[in-house]
Amino acid sequence: MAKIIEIPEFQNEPLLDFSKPETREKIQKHLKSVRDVVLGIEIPLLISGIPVFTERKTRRENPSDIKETVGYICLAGQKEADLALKVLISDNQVKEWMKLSFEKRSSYLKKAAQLLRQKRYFFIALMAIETGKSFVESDAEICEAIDFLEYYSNSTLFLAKLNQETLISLPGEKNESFYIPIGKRAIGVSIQPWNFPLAISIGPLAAGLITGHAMIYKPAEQSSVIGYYLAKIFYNAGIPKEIFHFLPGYGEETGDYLVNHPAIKVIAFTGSKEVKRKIQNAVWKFNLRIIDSLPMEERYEKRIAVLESGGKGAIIVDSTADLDEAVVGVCDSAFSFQGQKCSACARIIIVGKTYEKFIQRLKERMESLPIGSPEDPKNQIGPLINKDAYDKVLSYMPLVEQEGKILAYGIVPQELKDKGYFVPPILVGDLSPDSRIAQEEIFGPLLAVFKANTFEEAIALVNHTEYGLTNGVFSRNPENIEKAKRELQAGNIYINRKITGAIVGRQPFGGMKMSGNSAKAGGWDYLLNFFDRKNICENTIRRGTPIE
Amino acid sequence: MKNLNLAVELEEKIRKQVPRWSIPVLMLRLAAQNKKMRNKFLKLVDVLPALPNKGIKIYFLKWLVEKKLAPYFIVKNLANLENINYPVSVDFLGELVVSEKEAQNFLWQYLRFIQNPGGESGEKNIAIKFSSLFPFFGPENYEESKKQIKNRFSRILRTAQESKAFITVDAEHYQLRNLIEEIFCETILEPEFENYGNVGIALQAYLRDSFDSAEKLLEAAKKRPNSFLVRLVKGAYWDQETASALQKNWPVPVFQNKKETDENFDKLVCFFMKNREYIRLAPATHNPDNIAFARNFNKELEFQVLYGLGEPIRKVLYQEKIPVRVYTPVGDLINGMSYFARRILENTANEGFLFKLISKRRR
Repeated sequence: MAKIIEIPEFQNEPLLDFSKPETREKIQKHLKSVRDVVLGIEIPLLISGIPVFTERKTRRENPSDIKETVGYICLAGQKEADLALKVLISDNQVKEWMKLSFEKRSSYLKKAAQLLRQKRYFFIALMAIETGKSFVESDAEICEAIDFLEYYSNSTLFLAKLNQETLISLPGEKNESFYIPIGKRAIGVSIQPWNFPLAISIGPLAAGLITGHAMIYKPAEQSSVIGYYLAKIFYNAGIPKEIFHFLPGYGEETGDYLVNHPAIKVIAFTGSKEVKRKIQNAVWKFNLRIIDSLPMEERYEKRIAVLESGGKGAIIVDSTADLDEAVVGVCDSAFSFQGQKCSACARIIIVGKTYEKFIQRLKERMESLPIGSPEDPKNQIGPLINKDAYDKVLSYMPLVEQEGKILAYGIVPQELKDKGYFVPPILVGDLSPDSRIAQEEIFGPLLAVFKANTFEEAIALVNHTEYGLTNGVFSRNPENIEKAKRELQAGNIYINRKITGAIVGRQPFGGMKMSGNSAKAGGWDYLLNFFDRKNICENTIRRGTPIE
Repeated sequence: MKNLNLAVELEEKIRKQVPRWSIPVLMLRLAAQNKKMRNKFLKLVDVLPALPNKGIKIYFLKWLVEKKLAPYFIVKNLANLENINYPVSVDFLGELVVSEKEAQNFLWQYLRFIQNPGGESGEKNIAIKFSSLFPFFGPENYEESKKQIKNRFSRILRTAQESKAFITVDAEHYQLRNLIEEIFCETILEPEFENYGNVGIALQAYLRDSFDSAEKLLEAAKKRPNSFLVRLVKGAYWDQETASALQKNWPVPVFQNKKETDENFDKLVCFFMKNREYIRLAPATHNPDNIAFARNFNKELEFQVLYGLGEPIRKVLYQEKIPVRVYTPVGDLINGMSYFARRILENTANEGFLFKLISKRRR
């Protein structure tokens, strides 16, 4: 007889309704209170929940207004990292955490979700100030973060059940299967970026914690104030303090040290291709050579549980596309949060005679996008995250002249030119598919456009990239849509909508090729990346009789 | 009793007016058979203008939809309007406004039409959509949307005042409702416009909180020396509102069945009749029950029907000497696609008076 398992019901956290005056008023109120209370102070490390200040700090500025200091971020060096690692290597809480039931651990995650709901407006305000993200984007991200916490709680219980129920059981033989965290002492590190400072940090942390690992959280230095308050939420949710540590610092320093440390068994990383390679190298080196020097009991190979390393998203617009939807969809995908998303659209491929009309309308829309601080919701384009990003995008400008031709660009108001890291949206055409602009991840509002004669040619152009995270198609031709679904080399494909904004449980998010290891954030099986599995078979026959 | 008789009488007469063998009616009847047919039909109609003219089948379908079906719902251009000799309210169909340039073009289209003295007799009457006046119109961009639209709406009203043109603000998606009503109320209360009577706003009866809007509008009307018009409609975005709310995990803002909407419509009619010294009501409905109910309160009420679909009703109301105006979308088929698709959806769903008219079943 077939067994039936229930799939847990899940509902995504509802977005805020901006048509209500209370919503808009509360945000303004919190912008003020965040400025009064949070800005300009020193942000410590949190080791077992205890603030630890370091002499070395980095100043985080408001990217819309460089003169404003968001905070002075303490930097964890080897000494501070060792403090945290010492706790993790010796404290009993780490082992106790591993032994807890999934139900118990998920209760902490749900508590964290509740606390996050209460701090919604606070984070919207802080994210606008520290990362230049619009209210609408920040709200969507907070919902995603809450979703991760709730969804992974549900998923773990479901996975454990699925794991057990799929085993064939026969009389006299008791078969069991358990998901367990990785390592004699399960310790993981999560190194996460600034572009989704809340959601992409919370996801892997939640996954690591609920699967039984003690976690070290290394945020990006461009969003460590947000990271600090995020860490506080986990502590306030009541998790044992010894199993969670907040170590802001430079990736090359703090991140590097932790990744190489023998105590760290699990790594979750989102970031650039270059850093990914360093991490992969470190993990490989460890597993090939260093591991042999560890005591036998500790020879668990390091594992990269989740890896997300960029994208070069492309959208095809064919001659049957609804141009209204396509122009807005491409614009949103390319320029929301100034294109600083791995899922962003960096290339458009237009098939056939729609080219002229599409480019004309896109150009006019780009020129209409107001640029400025996200604290004023009229602005559609905010600042880039910091000076490095600003310099990087600008460094592509001479290349634009060489490799292609500027088709459209917005204008940064004069008064903003030195105030923040503002760059205008730019549309570039006449590029070769192998040009640097067509291939490299620029992480800014620079959009490349290509022409194709046929849909097949368009698909080939889309796939001509080492990345494979998001792609999209605007078309109403069912054959083209089927072809796209089948042949596009990307982990997340979108038809007739923007290619950003994947939602937990609906569009599990993760890519192939050089974009990552296909771990699907917001998918029911994401947690499997954080598990080892024990299968146990017990003979229950005593004196010839099965005793169940 | 009188009410019921009028409703029954109207329905009988309307039924007689429906062209039994017209191609549009036949096509709609085909599409109305079941959900699968209806979806197929919608998909085809949606993509047809964009398909290349390859093969006799496509060519024929295009001809059928563009030349036979579309003109039933949409008037092709302003020149064709001049052939119409009954009162209309003109709705300019257009692409979604995605840039400043397109918003300016739309504004100029409205202004030009108002200023142009030519053609038909009587006052110009147009329905405008605030979302066509600004590319980033929406509650996430509240203050700027308000600022830009107040400015452009004022320009339209200013021009309208010179020629006594009638301007009605259309209702749009639920998310835009508060914004639209706030802009409308603030603008028509300004000293420059507070005496102008030829201005109105639409109110959707399919919204669960439609009485919130009614109260808000009444409050504004009470402050004004001259009344304005409320065009009471049922609502045109039902499928979209339901899907959108479910996706966002928000409560669904519309009534789930037509009966509730129809009842709410009558309740709102009562509300506005009670307050007729402040607000003039124009009920827009094809349903003889609703028409009879409203007519009972006030013989001077001007009703409204849709162009094409509402023609049988218009003819009958005209014969019965009941004032009626026709909401007339003007534009080419491509621009009118979403309007067109919504009408097909409404008329091939299982509820609704027009569906009953079109389908073979008798009441």
